[in-house]
Amino acid sequence: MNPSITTTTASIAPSQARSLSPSFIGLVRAELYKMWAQWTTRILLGLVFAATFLPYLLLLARSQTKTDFTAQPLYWTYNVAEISLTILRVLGGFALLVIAARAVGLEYQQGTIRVLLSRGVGRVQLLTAKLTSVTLLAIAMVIGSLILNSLLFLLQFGLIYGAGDQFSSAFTSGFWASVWAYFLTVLVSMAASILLAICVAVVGRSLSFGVSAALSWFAADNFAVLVLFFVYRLTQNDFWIKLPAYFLGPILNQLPSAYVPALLVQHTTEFGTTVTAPLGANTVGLTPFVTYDATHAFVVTLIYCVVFAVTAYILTWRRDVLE
Amino acid sequence: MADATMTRPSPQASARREAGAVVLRTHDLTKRYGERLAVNNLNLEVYRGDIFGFLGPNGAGKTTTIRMILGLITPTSGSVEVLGQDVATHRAEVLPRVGALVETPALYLYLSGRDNLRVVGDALGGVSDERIQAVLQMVGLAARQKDRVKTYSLGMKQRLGVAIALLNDPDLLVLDEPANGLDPAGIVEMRDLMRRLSAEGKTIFISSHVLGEVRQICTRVAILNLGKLVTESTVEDLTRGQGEFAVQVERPREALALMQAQPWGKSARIDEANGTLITQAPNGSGRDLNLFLVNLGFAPASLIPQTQDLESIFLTLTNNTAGEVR
Ligand SMILES: Nc1ncnc2c1ncn2[C@@H]1O[C@H](COP(=O)(O)OP(=O)(O)O)[C@@H](O)[C@H]1O
Ligand SMILES: [Mg+2]
Repeated sequence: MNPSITTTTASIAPSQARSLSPSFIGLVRAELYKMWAQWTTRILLGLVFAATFLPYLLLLARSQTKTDFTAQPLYWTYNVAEISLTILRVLGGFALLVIAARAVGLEYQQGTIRVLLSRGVGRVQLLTAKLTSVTLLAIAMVIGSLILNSLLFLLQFGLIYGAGDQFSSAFTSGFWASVWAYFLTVLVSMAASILLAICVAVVGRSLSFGVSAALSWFAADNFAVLVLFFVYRLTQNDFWIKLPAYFLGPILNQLPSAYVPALLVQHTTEFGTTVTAPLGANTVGLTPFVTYDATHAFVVTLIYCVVFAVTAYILTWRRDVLE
Repeated sequence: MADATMTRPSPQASARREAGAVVLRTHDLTKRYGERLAVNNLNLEVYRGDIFGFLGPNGAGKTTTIRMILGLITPTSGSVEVLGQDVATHRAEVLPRVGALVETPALYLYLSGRDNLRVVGDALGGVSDERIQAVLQMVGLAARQKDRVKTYSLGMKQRLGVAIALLNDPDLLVLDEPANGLDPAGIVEMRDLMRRLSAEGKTIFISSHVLGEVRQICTRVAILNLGKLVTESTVEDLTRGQGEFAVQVERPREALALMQAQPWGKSARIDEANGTLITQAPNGSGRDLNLFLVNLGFAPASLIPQTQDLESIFLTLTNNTAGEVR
């Protein structure tokens, strides 16, 4: 049955005009296109932008906002900035978590990963392209949110209230330092969300697992803080209450209050007394009951990010694609 | 570089065979899943211009083999060479020249047919709109290109899968059960498309568990069962049979006894249905068999070389285990 003719081997002959080879830029473009074509992406981004209007609408509905702002521009401006950044951190983080988990999960779920890989697209190349495109989307979302916030702020306080004169006392260097620090914590928490989502979607190789595991991660470790607190109360063992200092969710929740320098502002209370008090950063969600400094929070977050990234890359690189 | 492989394949299959270029080759290819050998020491050679039928019942290991060819899964041992390069080490150079459709077509259901081609094209480094339109025409999906794939029938999805495989004008097409989900008319269309592509000089590697789907178009076939290669040959060689002859003689039982005493006649038997003798021939030659019989006074009324039809070969080669639960 064996052909007894000597066979030569076809070499890669440059036939016709198709010197195609997988291109990273092309991959990123395709990824962005795919993300944008999904309604989920548009709805989530729409949600983030819709929520951006919320604090301004509430302030607009409040009759004494103009008087308050004129009296204490720094206090009010800082609060607006902080609430806006908190919205971006929580909702934007949520949106990115879902979008990133979908970007990886859908590819496995619909089996399209084999279409790309069987054409010579590298596994590591594909994952990097996905990571890059989600990051680009995150950057676009953050920039969009900052622009929208600035416009809304200027519109409401500058145009509607005509409070332009107070801006100089609102935008102090202390204000910028605190806002910048808060902004950094937003970026860190977004990066952690993206890597977490990509990692669990790669591990689960499915859309539903990726999205639900990514979402329940933060629910679970926030809840664990409470559980461990009760365990601590029962056992009186310090270990249990210290443990949440190594949980990603609580650490990220705590990051703003640990890292953002408190802004000293003069504030007139409801009772008419003027106090100078440090304005700390908002926290949303549970934080470890034991406080740690910002360095601890950053290091723990960094370790999580590295573990997520390494796990995602090694599994993508090594595993058989059975989809 | 100045060897025969650089010449464009000629339209005649025989000329292509002479050129002898191996487009796809597996060396002792093996994949083990735990205790089970899904693919067992497989050695295949596919020549340029072949339409190579890779046949075997469900679970034979066809898809597993194809996934290893495409670098989707790592062989437990052995290797795959495509266009002269090892796929494990040269996937980025070699795989862009292969178009593949593995199992059910994998598609972006939320995109239109055209956008599916566009995103894959982008990933491959850019494919022109004209090319996208051309492949849509080729598979007969041009009219539905703007509809979301979610709304396509299975047959349409299968054709879009083929369109994706053809997108970058590959030298080698690897199609895993491309006829799955197609209606009879669709299967005929698919065969016509394969013939046209083959005429353009493409090498086609096509797997199927239904022989009838592919037998008319294949130049060579390999039959796989339980992960092992059962046979590999041209369709003509395979159907030529085992060199047996059907002989009609008077007193067949006496003739049978004499034949069975010969070294070449061990497998001689009588077909009870019509009383003909089925036997091998001395030196495989019908003439010698005739002489043997005549010398002993059994002048045959007829002596017909047995050709086997491919279906029955396929069944005999595979059915002893096909129904087994694995
Ligand atoms: N991921 C896997 N894990 C375990 N066994 C598998 C896996 N994939 C395939 N197999 C087994 O390998 C054998 C060959 O499967 P496959 O290549 O899909 O056959 P075919 O495509 O010829 O129908 C089957 O017995 C199947 O059950
Ligand atoms: Mg199969």
